[in-house]
Amino acid sequence: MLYSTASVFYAGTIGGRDVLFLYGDFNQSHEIAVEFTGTGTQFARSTVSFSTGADIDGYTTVTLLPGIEGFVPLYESDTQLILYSDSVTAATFWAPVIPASEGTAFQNYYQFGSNTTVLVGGPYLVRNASISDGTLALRGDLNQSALLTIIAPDDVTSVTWNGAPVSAYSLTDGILAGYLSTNLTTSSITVPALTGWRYADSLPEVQSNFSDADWVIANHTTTNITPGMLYGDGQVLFGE
Amino acid sequence: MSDVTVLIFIISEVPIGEVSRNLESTPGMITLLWRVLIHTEKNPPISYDYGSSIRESRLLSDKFDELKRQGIFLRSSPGFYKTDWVGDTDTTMPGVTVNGSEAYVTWLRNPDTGAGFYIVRQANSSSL
Repeated sequence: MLYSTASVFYAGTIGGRDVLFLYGDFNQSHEIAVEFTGTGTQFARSTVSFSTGADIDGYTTVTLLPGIEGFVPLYESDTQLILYSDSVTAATFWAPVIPASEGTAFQNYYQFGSNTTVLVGGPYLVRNASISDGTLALRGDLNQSALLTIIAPDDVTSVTWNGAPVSAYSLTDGILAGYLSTNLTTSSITVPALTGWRYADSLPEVQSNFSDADWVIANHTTTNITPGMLYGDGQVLFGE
Repeated sequence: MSDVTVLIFIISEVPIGEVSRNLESTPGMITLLWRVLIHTEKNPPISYDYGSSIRESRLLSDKFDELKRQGIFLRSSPGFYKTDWVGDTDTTMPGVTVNGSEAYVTWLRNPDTGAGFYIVRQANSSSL
């Protein structure tokens, strides 16, 4: 990319494709100059237009008009994926680290042990993600049903959410889409009976049958504690 | 509880200029703009968690969204992690011309990769 007036959310490599995710406010227009690589598709629409004719030094200018809402792929090829969204939608995306193979030092830490990440958009919170055998296993929280958008390596074909499979379909090469629904209601939550309490009375001396025979009598006149009682009439009120 | 409007200035990074996916090898220019986030909530931040991106109720706030946007951008530009200060508007920056006095420019450079970063920001909150 030569320049962009839109903010950069994510720039990196996912599954052999260079992925660039830009975002901007809903009511602003933006201009991006990119060198497209690979044979791919430009997704033009009423608010997105690509310069045609002789490109300047191989760069294509993409013009984004105000009013773009939601997740909008701009260009997809086997080597590049250029995406755009409004700022609110960009904030619904997460970039969890895919841990490296077992035994790798710092396998869970990005840029130290692992350089793999995926982009997951939609859930309220994505806690972690891992890939095995073409399945992307996501763990996270929802606060409402949400559309799921995933940018992952091409060999990922299925997705699970908190262990349950998600029916995902391919939006375009490199982008998977699905739907996460919550059907949790307060009546569906069962609270276990809380029994077997351990407790101790914090004010036993108000009981009528309480005996203070075990208490230490407060008649000490000497003490080992230095410097001893500084005030009073000589009675020592320390415990020893 | 009535709606409370809280005005929060959050620095938002808007890259303008040459930003390449291979940020280690080409100079990039990052503009930091004051982004006014009008913050209206039915449950306004209470005193102990004011300003936190995760509220005391463990819910995520608008600040979390903005910090996430900036954080993933920073993670995408690893050359920015180690920079030397080269110059700014108050000193001499060879080859850099700043038009007007409303912008304050700081020039940072990564000593290992040579990648340059121009941090441009408004001189003060009224030079919008």
